[in-house]
Amino acid sequence: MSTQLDGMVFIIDDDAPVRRALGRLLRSVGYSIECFPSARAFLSRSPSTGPSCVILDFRMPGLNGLELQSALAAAGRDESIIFITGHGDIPTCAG
Amino acid sequence: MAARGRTIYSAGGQALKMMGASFDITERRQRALETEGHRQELAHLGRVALMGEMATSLAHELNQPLTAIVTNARAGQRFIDQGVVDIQELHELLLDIASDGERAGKIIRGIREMVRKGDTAREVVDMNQVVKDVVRLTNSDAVRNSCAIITELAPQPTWVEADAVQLQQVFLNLVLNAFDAMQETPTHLRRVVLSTNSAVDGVIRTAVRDFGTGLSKKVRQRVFEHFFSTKKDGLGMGLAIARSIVESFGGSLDSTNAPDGGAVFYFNLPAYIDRSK
Repeated sequence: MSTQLDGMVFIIDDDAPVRRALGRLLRSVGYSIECFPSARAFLSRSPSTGPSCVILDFRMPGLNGLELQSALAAAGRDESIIFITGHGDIPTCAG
Repeated sequence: MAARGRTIYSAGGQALKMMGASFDITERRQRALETEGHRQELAHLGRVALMGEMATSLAHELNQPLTAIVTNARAGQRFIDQGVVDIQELHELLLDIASDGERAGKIIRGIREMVRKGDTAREVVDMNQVVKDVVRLTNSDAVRNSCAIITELAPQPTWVEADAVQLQQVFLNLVLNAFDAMQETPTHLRRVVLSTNSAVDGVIRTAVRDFGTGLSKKVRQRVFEHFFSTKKDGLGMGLAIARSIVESFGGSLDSTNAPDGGAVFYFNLPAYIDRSK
């Protein structure tokens, strides 16, 4: 039996099947999750009060991952962000 | 063989004699066939080059469903290991795995069709479907270029008689060019509009519009020439091949600038008329 872990994981990815799969994987290890199809959808949610972390797709239509990171920083929010990308290359990482 | 002849009449209208000649047109026919063969070969090379250009994006497009499949399978394993199997949850998870497998399969089929060497088909094709297939293939490229793809499709099927793969090739060329044309456009304004119109006067019109800087007069005059390119690594064959494809199906491909900015490439094809009715 898995233990329910503290903390909330927010998943932001424009690809619905990928989003659902990530959600299931995190739930299978005991995290609570909430999924968002876009950066804007996440921004319109009121900030989480408890411990939380954001799993963020780097490249998305509309506001991309980096732009969301800046928007969160500008709003004084300091959620930890884990970037994921299927387009990983050196310019992306170095930039 | 080809033959032509005429009758010589007298002033009174009476037939005096008939003159005629037969021609051996084997060579002419052969040349026409050769030209068609070359056109097909060139079109095929164009498609292979397109797939090469899109390789990174296509790999990503394929990687998405594969990642989702593996992630789902791992999650399912954990659920089972923990003895907390929610049948509904497992059912949805397996549904996702199956549909992602199909999604990956469709992409592979799309690529295979594009690189397949074959005779030009003449089939009844719905332009709306061609647009949808192209959107699927360019989805990842669009995200890479921070560009939105908007489709404005005719509400009715838009039937033409052509080769679906070659029409996809035309569209792919136009869409990839549109992405390239907007490298200087601010990301929030980057979009490509793909539209199809219902038949007007027996013609189906399809267009690809970008929101870049548009085409200068000089570029517009030469854009369909072989080996003309404004891209630093462009071969300058894409649009020339695209035009020859559209023309081979009795249509025309042209470009113009939109009044409020950006270039529009549009092509007209004769609407398919079902003569069996």
